[in-house]
Amino acid sequence: MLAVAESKELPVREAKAGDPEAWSRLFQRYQLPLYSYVFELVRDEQASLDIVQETFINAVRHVGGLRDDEKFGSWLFGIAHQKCIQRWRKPPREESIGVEELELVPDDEPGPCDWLVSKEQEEQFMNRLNQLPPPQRSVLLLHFVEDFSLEEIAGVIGTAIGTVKSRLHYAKRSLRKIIEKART
Amino acid sequence: MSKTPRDILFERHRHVEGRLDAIRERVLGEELTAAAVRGTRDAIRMHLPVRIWKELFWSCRRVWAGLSAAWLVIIAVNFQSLEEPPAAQGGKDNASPVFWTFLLEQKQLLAELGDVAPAEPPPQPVPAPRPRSDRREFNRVRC
Repeated sequence: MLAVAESKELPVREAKAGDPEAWSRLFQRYQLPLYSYVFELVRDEQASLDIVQETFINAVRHVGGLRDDEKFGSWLFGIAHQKCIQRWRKPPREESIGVEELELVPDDEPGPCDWLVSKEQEEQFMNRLNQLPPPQRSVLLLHFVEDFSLEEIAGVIGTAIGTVKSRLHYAKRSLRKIIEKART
Repeated sequence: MSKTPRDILFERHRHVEGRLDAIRERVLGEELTAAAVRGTRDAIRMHLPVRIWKELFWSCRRVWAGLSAAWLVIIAVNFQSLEEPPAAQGGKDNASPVFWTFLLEQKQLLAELGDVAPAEPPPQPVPAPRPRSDRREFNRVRC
């Protein structure tokens, strides 16, 4: 749980007080994960850099509205996610998940560190990731990049926890097939 | 060697780190300066009377103290000169004893007159309006 351990040491309070050094540390910590997440959603380098910049600007301007300092990471990703949706013009259509489907989703899924992709599988893995529908890709990226909890992911993308759980399950199943196929 | 998805993603995007650093520097430079300016503006608005006092009066308090002292002296001198009788001003009184005797007589005469209360002058009769015929004649004469 790298994100949780780090977020406790992050100087969010100092940043709220307007300390430039604290802001620099925060942005340094999140700039690459944020860019990776945005790029894998919008698939355009310049647009992704613009979104990261707009996210940073919004963060500086509205940090006063952040209630829980420990949720700085998911709050920042939430801003970026909203910017991505604005880029797409039309928000991605919410998939309706049935109760039966949710009941099938197991609780003890492996964490992002349990996923190990070999050098040969990398390209295939990334291709499959990019083929996933944006809602599933978004959830999976947040899980892989920052290891956010289901609750935090739900906060970032603005959906119910059940929906997040289901999307994550199907996205993982889809990717796992590639890894298992390569092993056999 | 196997990697986690996080490592794979970061490796693929590490080439933009230089541009991300530049974005970070720019945003912090511009936004934090703007935030500082906004904060200063708010502080000015909040403590305007205190700031006026400090910058306008307190910073040059010696000058203001000097000016007030000078004005106090001017006012005091002015009041003193008003209270003094004309005779005391500069010892310019060269009047002869004859003048003083005349002044004394005048004073006595005034006191005597003061004993007898002066009769009030009779009220002036309000002039009756002139007949219109007179006025017409007057106008005719004027024409």
